[in-house]
Amino acid sequence: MSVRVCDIMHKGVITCSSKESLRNVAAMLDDNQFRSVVVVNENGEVWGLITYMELLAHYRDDVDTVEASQIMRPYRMEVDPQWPVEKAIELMKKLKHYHLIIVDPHVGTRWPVGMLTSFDIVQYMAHLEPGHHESFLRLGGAK
Amino acid sequence: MAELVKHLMRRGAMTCNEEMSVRSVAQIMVVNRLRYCVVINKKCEVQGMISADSILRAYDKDLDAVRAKDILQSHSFTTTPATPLPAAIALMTKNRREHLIVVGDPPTNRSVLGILDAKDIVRSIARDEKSEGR
Repeated sequence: MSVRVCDIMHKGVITCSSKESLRNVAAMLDDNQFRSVVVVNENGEVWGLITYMELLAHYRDDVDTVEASQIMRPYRMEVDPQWPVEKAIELMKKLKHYHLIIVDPHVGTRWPVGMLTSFDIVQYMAHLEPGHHESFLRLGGAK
Repeated sequence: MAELVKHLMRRGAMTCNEEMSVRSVAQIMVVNRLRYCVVINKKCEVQGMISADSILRAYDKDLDAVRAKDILQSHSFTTTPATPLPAAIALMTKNRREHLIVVGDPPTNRSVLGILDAKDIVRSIARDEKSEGR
């Protein structure tokens, strides 16, 4: 059986409102060790995405007055958690979007349920077996 | 603005040999929770960088047969410790790169000093460290 998006995605996402300041968005990312924040509307539905790149582009702005809605990238794709991983990878490669927001179509709204990033794909591609970490981390133990 | 790359860069960088398989590079990145690996040659000169995105683009290839040098991103995306931070950030945003390799002066120097990571720039935004004289 092929691997599905829901098997390797991050469950849950960090969300913010469109009125959140750029500094607060940066603090959310830093505090939670995430690389992207989903901007949601008043119904909790996906509206946009802010990654490190959007924040860096506004580095010189007044980070306390610029709002999330001004810097976010509008997000209109719908990636189903039941998709095969290959389909999501093709979408990433085609659009060069390396953060895919996963929404559950069965709840009838665009509520975010998870995130799939290029690093999740690398983890999948690495084929690391349990216990393999030690052979890398042990001094002189790399094969 | 007085802030320079050396104020935010990380000293040292994860490196791999250009002949290493892409699968091994992916494993190194996963084990160390890093989204980049600097590729060097036998003389320890920078050849380029491999990111999670560049590994993803090699998905349909044989990862045990493809070498790091086959998929690396150009070493032209480098900066130096004395470069003003806004100039380095402009290079990152223009090319949508979350990491820049920091090399010694002059920029033609190919020895790796460290990494400028977008993560550290975001942290400086969050903590109001953009002002001069940090």
